[in-house]
Order: sequence, then structure tokens, then C-alpha cells
Amino acid sequence: MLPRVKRFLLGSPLRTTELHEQKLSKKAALTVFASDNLSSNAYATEEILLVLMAAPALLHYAFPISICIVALLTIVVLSYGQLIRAYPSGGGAYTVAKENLGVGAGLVAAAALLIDYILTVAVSVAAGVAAIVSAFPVLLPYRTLLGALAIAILTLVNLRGARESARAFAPPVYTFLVTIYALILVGLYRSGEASGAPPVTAPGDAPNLSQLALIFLLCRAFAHGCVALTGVEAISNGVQAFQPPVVRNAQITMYIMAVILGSLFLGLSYLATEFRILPKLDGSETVVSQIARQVFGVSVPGWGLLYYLTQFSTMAILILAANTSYAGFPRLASILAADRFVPRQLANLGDRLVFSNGIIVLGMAALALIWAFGGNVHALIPLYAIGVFLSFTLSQSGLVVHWLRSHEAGRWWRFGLNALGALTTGLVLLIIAVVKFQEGAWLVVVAVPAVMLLFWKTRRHYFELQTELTLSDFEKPRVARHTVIVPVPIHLNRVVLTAIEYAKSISRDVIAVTVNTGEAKAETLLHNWKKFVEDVPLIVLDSPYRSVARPLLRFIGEIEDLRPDDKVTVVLPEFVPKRWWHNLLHNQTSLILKGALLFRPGIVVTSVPHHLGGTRVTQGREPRHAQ
Amino acid sequence: MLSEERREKILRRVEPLLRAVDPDVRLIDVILDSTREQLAFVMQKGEWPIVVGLNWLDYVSHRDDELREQLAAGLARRLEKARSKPAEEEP
Repeated sequence: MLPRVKRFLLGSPLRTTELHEQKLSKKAALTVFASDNLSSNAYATEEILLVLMAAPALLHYAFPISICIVALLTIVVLSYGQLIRAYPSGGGAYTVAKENLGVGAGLVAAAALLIDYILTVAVSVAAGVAAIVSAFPVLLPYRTLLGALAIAILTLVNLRGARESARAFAPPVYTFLVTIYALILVGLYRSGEASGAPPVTAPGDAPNLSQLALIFLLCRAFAHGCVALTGVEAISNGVQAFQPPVVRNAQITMYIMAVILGSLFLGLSYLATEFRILPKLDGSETVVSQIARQVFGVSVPGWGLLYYLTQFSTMAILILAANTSYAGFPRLASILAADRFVPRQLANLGDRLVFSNGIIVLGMAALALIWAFGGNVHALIPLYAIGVFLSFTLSQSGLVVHWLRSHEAGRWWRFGLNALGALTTGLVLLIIAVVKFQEGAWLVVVAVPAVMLLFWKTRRHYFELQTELTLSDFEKPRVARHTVIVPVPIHLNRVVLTAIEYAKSISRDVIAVTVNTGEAKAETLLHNWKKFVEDVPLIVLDSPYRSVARPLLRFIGEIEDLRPDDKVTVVLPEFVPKRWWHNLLHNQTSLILKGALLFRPGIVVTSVPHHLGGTRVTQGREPRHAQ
Repeated sequence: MLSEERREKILRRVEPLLRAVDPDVRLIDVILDSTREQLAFVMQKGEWPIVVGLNWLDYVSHRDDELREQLAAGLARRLEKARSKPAEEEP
């Protein structure tokens, strides 16, 4: 039943040889890797305006600030183009920082990126759900549930495979691009009419700002607008997801993404300034919605449809922005797993040739965040951009060192480009850290080291395991004695005799042991034992306090201590009921013993299961199973 | 495996010796391993089972007082170990 459900939801397993067919074209990769980055157009301009509203006289700085951010985007993207060229195997900031600045720096970048990916899913889904709730307020009580549903769908689609997710998410991404470009083009055409309108003033008095406060406010607006750059690094982490030639395709896709992002961002910021749009502090309508309402109008048939199309595609891309993380997180986690910093299962390719475990972990972590914060995005956002710029700065700094060590032609201009990238992103990181510190950026100080600690603990575990299991000082397997203990119930049955048969087949030293709690006469058991089992001693222990497990475990320990060269195996006769609820009708002594013996070094535990009702016994002899 | 007769004989010899060492200890059984070199005396003190090993040659060659001393030493070792880790085997 379960395999059928799995196949229905995820599709049939793919052969390893089909991995190449799962690689993405530029067009498909754009929808997978760029949705996070492009979706930031939905709120980046609004973030700038929200800060500038504190001094309405500065609102016209929104467009120049946007130009600065696009300039920064250009530097970052060109720098990342070099990163893709230098590290075509992927891994992005983690690999570059680790190889050039040391493992510590690499782990800082990895921790920042992993946190950022989880936050991206949580924030994007919460923002998308908020858009739906704004349109249909009746859904407000179900906000968390809707978020969970969206994450479940995203997880499921991504588990189906990279190409399937690209195919599923392409229509909303391209609809968003078409509608926003249409909005900008029509808006530019109509901006002439709006430019004559009286200037709009923000609510409240304009404060009389000192020069220092003015600079701080502009820096703050810039820092808030930098959310537009989130997701730029995703392509560099997933270079290997592209069809060959991977480097060229990944670079071109990233440049296309940057051109689209830059043009949309500048267009929306320009229109917001031209139409004198102000963010609504009560959150009742977004800046993009206000622009679309003014440009298209809602009352005019046809144009009104375009308005709603813009809104719905914005909502869709906000939710799909999470998809970029579904592409980035599992890949980065798989690289970390290969280096033993996270559990090795995260490096396994699943049935559909995607890193299924990473996808599931991401979904669960984002779900936990949505649940913990009740779908409130504002509490999560301050952590968001700082992680991205931390990884930007580390990767660019790593590339600076890389080019210094390199001997290839053109290394000096590449060095200059990455040095510029490192300096600018480092400066922006500093600005974001200062202006957003009180808003919650301090959380990074806690979260990043905590994740790094987990990395080191995991690595240490694998190292210790490897050291312990090494063959370097191992000579040859010794010939050891072997004693088998079979715990038997006070009432003899077929399952016990099957277990005794099995025990005798693996050792000449078999001891049966039972615990007499006083509920039945041990004489009957001894009588039956002599009748059915002639050559295995049966030890009858008394239990004055009626515990079965305690005397048994102690006896096993005593036998184990008897000789230093003795291996002890405990063979547990077990019956497996036909129905799961039949388990409730039995004592589960075997289960208790198994659990208690699991952590006892040097003792092997073997179950001899008997499946009740599974096989008809016709001649009185049991089929034997051992596991 | 010991024959029933041999088993009874050993138990009859060891039981009084053990009672002299510790009257609270009850001798339950004796087992001989497949190499026929090692005897294991299974006892119980209250709820706790104790297993004391003894070389077969020692058993047949020792006088009763020597055997008692050896059993007493083995029992003391096991009881000492039991006291040092009383809660370890609690399920």
C-alpha cells in the first residue's frame, strides 16, 4: 500500500543513468534558481519607501538608492560569474571560503546560507499566504495551516525531481515576468500624466534631521532595499544541475536573472517615485498593488483583469520563491555531507535523482518556523539579508585569495573584480548589521555559531567512528568461543523450540533461561523441556519481585563475564501478530530485552520471528526464520 | 552437557560448601561447556543471579576446603562487581 502511495505521489524511481536527463536547460533553471531572487521585486521597493517615509522630503531618493542597489547587484553577479568559472563543481560560498580562507570561514558561510535557505522558504510561503489572506480575509484563522499546505506541496513537487519542479513552476514565474514588464511599460507610458499630480506627503511631520541622521536613514533605506539581492548565490551553489557546458549555461542564466531583476527593480522603483506611491503602514495594500492599480486601473474591463493577474502572479512567485531554496539547500547539504559536517544521508540521491533527505529536512525546518512564528514574516526577515551578505563577503574574499594563488591569464582583472565585490558586500554587511541589529540581526550571532557547533560535533562523531573502525591495527578475525542464551517463557511453545533449533545451529554452547515469577509452576516447564529438548540446559531463575527483565539481564551479564574470549549471542524467540493491534495483547518482553541489550557492548541480539497466521503448518514443524 | 547423574553429584558436593560461604546464596545449577574444560555454577542471591566459573580439572583435583576457598573468592568477586554497578542493568 505504502509503496503505491509513494509511487503515485512521487512517480516511478529513476535509474542512475538517467541523471543526465534530469539536468536543467537555461530556461528551466531560471524558474528553479531565480524565483527567489525575482520575487524580491514584490517587496524590495516597498522596503526602501518604508524607511524613507520617516523623512518625506527624502522619498525621491528611492530611485537613486535603487540604482545603487542595482550597481551592487552588477558587482555581485559579475563576481559570482568568476566563482562559477573557478568552482564549476558547485558549493558556492562554502567551497570557496573553505578552500581559500580555511574550514572555519567555509562553515560560517555554510551556516549562514543554510539558515538563509530555511528562512527563505518560511518567509516566502508566509508572505504568499499573507497575500491570499489579504484577498480573502476569511482565511486568516487558517494562515498557519495554509503555510503548512504550501510547504507540503512544494516539498512533494521537488521530491518528484528537478525537471518536474521546473516544469510545474515555469508558468507562474513567466506569468509574473510578463505582467510586471507589462506593468512597467504601460506605467512608463502613463507616467507623464502622473508627473503633474500634486506631491504626496507621508503621514506625520517631517523630522528635522541632522546630517548624521540623514546619512543613517539613507543607509538604512539602502540596507532594507538590499533584500533584492537575496537568492543571487543560488545558481553558484547548483552549477552541476545545469546541462553541459555547465559553466557557460550557469553564468548566462545568472546574468539573465540579474538583468531581469535589475530592470524590474529599477522600473518599479521609478514608477513608485513617479506615481508618488507610499507604503500603507497598516499593510492593507502593497506598493506593487498600488502601482498596478494606478497603471492598469481596476474598473476598466481588460485592464482590471491585468491588475488581478499581476496580483495573483505576484502571490504565486512569492510562494515559489521558496523553490530556489529547495534547489540550493539540498545541494549545499550534500556537499557538507560529503565533508562529514552534516549527516551522510543528506548526500544520498533519492528515487527521483534528487537529494530527497535534504528536501525533506528543509521542508520540516521551514514548517517548524512557520508553526513557531504563527506565519508572522516580520519576526524572521531581519535574520534574512545578513546571512546572504555574510556568504557574499566570504565567497568574494575567498576568490581574492584564489586569484592571488592562481597563475592563469587574466587573474589580475579577476582579482580586482572580486576584491571590489568583497569590499562592497563587506561594507553592505556592516551597514546591514548596524542598522538592523536591534531589529533582530543579533540573532545571527546566536544562530550561526550554533549551527557551526552542530557541524563540528557531527564531524567529530564521524572522525571518532572512522578512527574506531579503522583496520590499521587490526590483524585477523580471532577464533572466539560463542555462547548462545535463549530466554524462554515459563510456558513452553513452538516459537521457543524454533529458537532453540536456530541457537544450536550457530553454537555448541546453548543455555536456555527462564524466570519464574510465581505465576506458574516451573515443574511443568522442566518436564516439557526434558521431553522436547535433551541437550540444552535450562536455568530457572526465581524472581521474588516478579520482574522478568532484571534477573534475565543480570544473568546475561554474568555469562558474558565468565570468560574473556567468549562471544555472547542472545536469541529471542518472538512471534509477530497478524494485526498490529494484537501487539497490545502481549507482554513485549522480547522488545524490552532488545531495547535494554541494544546499548550493551559485546552482546549480539538475534530475533527468531514466528509470523502468526502467515504460514499454515501442516506437518507440525515450523518454518525457520532468523533475522 | 553434563549427564543428569553427574550434575546431581556435583550439586550435592558444592551446595554445602557454598552454604558455608554464604547461607543466603542458593545454588541453582551447574553447566559444563562444550570443550569440557569449564564449569559454570549458577547461583542466586535474592533476585540477583550469580555465575561463578571453575576449571574442570580444579574441580576434580581440589580438596573440599580448597574448592570452598575458590568458590568463596569467585563469589566475592562477583558480589563486589554487582555492588559496583547495581543499576546498570535496569531495563
